[in-house]
Amino acid sequence: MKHEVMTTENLWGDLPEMETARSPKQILFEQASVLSDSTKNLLEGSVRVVKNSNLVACKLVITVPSLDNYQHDVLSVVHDPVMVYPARVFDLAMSRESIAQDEKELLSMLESILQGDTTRRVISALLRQAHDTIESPPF
Amino acid sequence: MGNVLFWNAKKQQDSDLLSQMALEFDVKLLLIAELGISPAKVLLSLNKSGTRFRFHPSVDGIEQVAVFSVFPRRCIKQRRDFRRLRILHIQPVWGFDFLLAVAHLHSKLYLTDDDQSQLYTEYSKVIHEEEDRVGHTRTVLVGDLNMSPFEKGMVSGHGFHAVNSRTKAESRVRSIVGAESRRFFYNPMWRFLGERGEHPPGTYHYSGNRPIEFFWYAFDQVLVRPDLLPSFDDDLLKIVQSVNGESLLSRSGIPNRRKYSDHLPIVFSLDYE
Repeated sequence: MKHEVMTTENLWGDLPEMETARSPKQILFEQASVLSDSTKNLLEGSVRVVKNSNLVACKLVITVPSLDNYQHDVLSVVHDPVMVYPARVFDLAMSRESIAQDEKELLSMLESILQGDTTRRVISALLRQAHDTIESPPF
Repeated sequence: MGNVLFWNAKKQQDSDLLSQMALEFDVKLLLIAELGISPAKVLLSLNKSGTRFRFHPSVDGIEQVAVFSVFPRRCIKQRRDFRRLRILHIQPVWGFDFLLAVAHLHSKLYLTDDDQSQLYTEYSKVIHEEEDRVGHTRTVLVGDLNMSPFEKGMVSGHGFHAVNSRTKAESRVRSIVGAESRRFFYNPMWRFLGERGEHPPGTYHYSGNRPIEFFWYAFDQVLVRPDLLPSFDDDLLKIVQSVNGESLLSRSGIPNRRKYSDHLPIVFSLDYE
């Protein structure tokens, strides 16, 4: 008896490209790393992530090791754990909130905050202070 | 395998020299006492060709010893700052964790040998306490201890209890009259108390006019707990005499204090992987 070979039908259709899809967390990690590399670790970027069943919140933080690990919160992105967009973007220095409908909008909002006057001024001030000489003990 | 370099830089301002040292000795942890410039300058030199090093500040903001490492920040936890001692918990991404105690202890300029010995019991106690807290004794103590390996504060069971024999140290603890049993350290620096040609007879030189002068001292030391001894190779412990082909010694063969420091760096290796 001849067996017919069954081929599995794709009911999913065209799935989104795997390589290009990035989560807000990943995007923030990349930008944290760019900051650390560009400043030779004088300023270190990091991302704090809080998750629960309703939301994922990612905060981009600048740490200055030579200023006793002083930390400056730059921005945060909050989104639904499954449906990433729309995502809420908070400019923490300006106390301003925006809504990103997709990754393109998110990138544009992040760029605007990271290149904004306030962030520039903060980075410049932190870099100046990062060069202070450390306190040595008396003998 | 990770190389650790300690140097009392005596306010050395040449960040490129520190960076060259780190490169030449393939250093994973760079520990500098009496750093004369900002950590930022050192970082810029260390990271000139690629960002590898980080600065790890102390908790209290007073840097007895400035710590730079190639470890990600999450791999180094500051356990405790106690006067002139810092204890860091190093948790490499790959390999076992250990405690790194770094110290720049009190100078003999203002304390007698007995004063120092008394004080060192406190430092020893703090190390014991942190070992109890992390639940193991994979500890290495490194720094300018401002005492010779044979002095009371170094050898006493109430002090660092550091002996010159691996075998003795491997017995791990010793009961002491009127006290609880005390953990041993192995002190490999004893072998540098003399000249055999391949290394100077110490790490620090002082020429005084008192009746008794040793001139050369091995104040810069590394002490290793028995549990870390399998990862510590005596042959890889060196007193650094030159960097980039340039001698740290003067023409008379003592540390060139004018150009560099009156101390010589020490470098050793820990096989934690």
